[in-house]
Amino acid sequence: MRRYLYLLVLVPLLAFGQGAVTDLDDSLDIDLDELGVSDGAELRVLRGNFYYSYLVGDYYQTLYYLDRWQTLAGTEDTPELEAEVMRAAIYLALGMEDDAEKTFYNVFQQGGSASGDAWYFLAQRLYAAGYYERAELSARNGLTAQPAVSQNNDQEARYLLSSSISEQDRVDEAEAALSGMRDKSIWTGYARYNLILAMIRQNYKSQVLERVIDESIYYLPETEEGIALRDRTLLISAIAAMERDKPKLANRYFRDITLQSVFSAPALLHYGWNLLAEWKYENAIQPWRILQHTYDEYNPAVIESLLAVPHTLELVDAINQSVLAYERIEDILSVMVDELKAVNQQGELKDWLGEWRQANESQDWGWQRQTLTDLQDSEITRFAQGLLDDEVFVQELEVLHDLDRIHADLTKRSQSLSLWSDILVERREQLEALGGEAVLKALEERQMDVLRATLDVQDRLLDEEETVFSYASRADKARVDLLRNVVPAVTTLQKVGTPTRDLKPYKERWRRMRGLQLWSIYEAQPQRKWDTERDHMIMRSETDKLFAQLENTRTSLSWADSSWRGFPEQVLAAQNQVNNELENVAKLQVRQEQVLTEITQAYLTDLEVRLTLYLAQSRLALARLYDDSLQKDMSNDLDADPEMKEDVKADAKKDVKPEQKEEAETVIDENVEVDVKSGVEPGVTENVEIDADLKRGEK
Amino acid sequence: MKYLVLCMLMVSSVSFAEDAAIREDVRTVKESVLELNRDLYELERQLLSPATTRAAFHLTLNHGEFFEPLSIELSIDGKLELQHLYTERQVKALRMGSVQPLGDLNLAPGKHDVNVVVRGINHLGQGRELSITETVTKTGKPLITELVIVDREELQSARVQLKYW
Repeated sequence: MRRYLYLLVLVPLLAFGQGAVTDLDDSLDIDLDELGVSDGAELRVLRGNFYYSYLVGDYYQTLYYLDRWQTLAGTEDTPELEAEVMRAAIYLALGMEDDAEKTFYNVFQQGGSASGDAWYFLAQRLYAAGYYERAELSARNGLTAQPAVSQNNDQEARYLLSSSISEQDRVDEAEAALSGMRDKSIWTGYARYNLILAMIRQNYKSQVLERVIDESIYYLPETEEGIALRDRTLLISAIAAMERDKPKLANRYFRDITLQSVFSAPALLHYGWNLLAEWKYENAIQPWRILQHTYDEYNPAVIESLLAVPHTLELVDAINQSVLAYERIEDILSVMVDELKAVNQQGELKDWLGEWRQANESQDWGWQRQTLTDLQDSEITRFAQGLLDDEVFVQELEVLHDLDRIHADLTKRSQSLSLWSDILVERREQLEALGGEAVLKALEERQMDVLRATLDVQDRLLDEEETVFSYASRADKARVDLLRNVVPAVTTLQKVGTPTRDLKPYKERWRRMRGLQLWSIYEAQPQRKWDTERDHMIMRSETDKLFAQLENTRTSLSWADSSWRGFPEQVLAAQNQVNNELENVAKLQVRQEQVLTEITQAYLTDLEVRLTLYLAQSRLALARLYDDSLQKDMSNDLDADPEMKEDVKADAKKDVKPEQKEEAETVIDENVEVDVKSGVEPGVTENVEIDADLKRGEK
Repeated sequence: MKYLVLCMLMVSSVSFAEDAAIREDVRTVKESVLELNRDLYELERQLLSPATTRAAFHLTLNHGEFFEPLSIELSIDGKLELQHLYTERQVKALRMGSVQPLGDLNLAPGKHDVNVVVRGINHLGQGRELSITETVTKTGKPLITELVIVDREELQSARVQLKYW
């Protein structure tokens, strides 16, 4: 009996198993045929996941998907190479140039091909990192690759190609690369800007340069970005014109610059110097006045213009105004120098860096950081504005920020691992308390009871087939019994044999009743059989479902262990690793903070020297002006009294020793030097600084 | 004078070497942190949804000319399991052919009804809703599903499809 029961248990199990497989196959077949899912579907999804994470900026996920994609790609050349290309792009974006270099080398060694977009992303990163030759190669690969660069990235890819050629000073080739671009695209504007810089570096003919400048300005869109780029192009063009002794052309460019962009301050300063070079003294003061009214007095351009104004006033013989201006400058510079000395201390600088680090906590690291150079509003920031043009400082700042973010991420990971550790303990305890095996056993027993009942019903159905009155209702059966019970009564009456009793009508009636009953039973039998079999099938189906559910529960129970088993060890190992890395990063943070403090301190010290020099220049100029005025007064007095004049001459010849004469000459020389510095030199220095900044040619 | 120059050279070379050492250390740390993070991400994923119960859902926008997704809701057996609101950057990434990992869920073995409603706008800027309901079967292996929003050029509209394997 037990064997029979096991056999019966196995039958529906097999049936369910077959059903499940068939169902799965069916649905898969339908989906595969309709939607084109192939073996490479998972690979395609992983590749897509990788690009999604890359494009939305989740670099941890990016690297995770890249790794899985590469593992799955196996030995197929194309996807593997594409993954390598993207790996190089990510390393570059995260500031890991050495790793990128190795990967990049491997990519070119392997040959093969990657998609246009992959090459475009690599070119973007290479260009940003300053590897122009390689950026050119990647951009070229991207523009010729199959599948090609997507429509959205096409113009930027061409910009990267043209600009990386421009950065290598191959002007003609860069111009040829530009020809494939849409004139009104902002990317064409940036490419032309870089081309202009290359032409300036190469001392191109003025006519050709002017044509490119005019063309560049004409096509730029009237957007905020377009206006800023227009001002930038005009500024470098004007400075280049100044250097080529074309002041009128420079003036034309300067006048076209708006007062709405970051390039307005240096433009106003240079505009003034350019007018001064043309002996237009009064006109030269105007842009400087606008500059001083519009911008903060700590702006390097404003500081320089402060000295430029009295110098120009002096040139137009407005001595009184010049003296007043110099006195004002002396006051301003004295305050500035004092303030600078006060803030140029290690402690102050560390606090300043601390505030900056706090302000940038929300910024991510790697290619996600965007506005790191927005320093907070403070006394030090006012003085350190020029530091933001220093590439070394910005790079060091980025390294410190990256370390800060890494430290924060690791701390978060460490906390999360501690929580996971607790969760795993809870999971284990809960599963142990659940007593899954016992619960499952009880469920199995109940399932067996149900099965037994079903089998009983099945047996009865089989027996029913063999009975005379099969599928008869209880009422029918009662009536049949009733008819059967009547037979002995009729038989007894027949035996008694009373002549007065005629049994025929009874017999006849009994036969009629029997006939009717049988008719009724046989008429209803097919319907009853059908109903019974249907009910039985439904019951079997429910039992099968119950069995399937039990199987799923059994599977779930076997999976349950996978939610904690083996994990505690892994979590512990990961926690140790994270803690080690945290220690390393903390040490590096301290070192990097020291590096930045030293750079800032050196810059502020230089600035202090420069401001002190400006202060000395203004004081010397004041002394010179007072001296001139005194001498003028004296000569007027002497002219009025000839006797006094003779006495003074005699005294002078008698008193002045050779060394005093030498000292006096030195003072005169210094005055001349100061005159030159306050007039032209600072402007030229600033020219060079701004020029160097703009020549970086980045977007 | 010679000694002075020599001293200056030594100081500058020491500072250069120190700077290079910091760079190298930072690079090494970055490298190991990236590796560690990748491993941690994998570990966390396994902890959250073990391979046996994992069902990963993805979304792809095929062309996206006639539909731009704004939000998505995914229900399993009538229970809301995943919701997402799209940013401009994410839509741009989807338009470029990338595949969004919507999320990993834990599913019991057997059949499950998956219902997805994607709300968005069509090419005329009018609000539109795409939906699909399908039955998927979870076995002992991880279930990978992909929701694809496909353009129907002949009808100037879009529809959502569900692939799984």
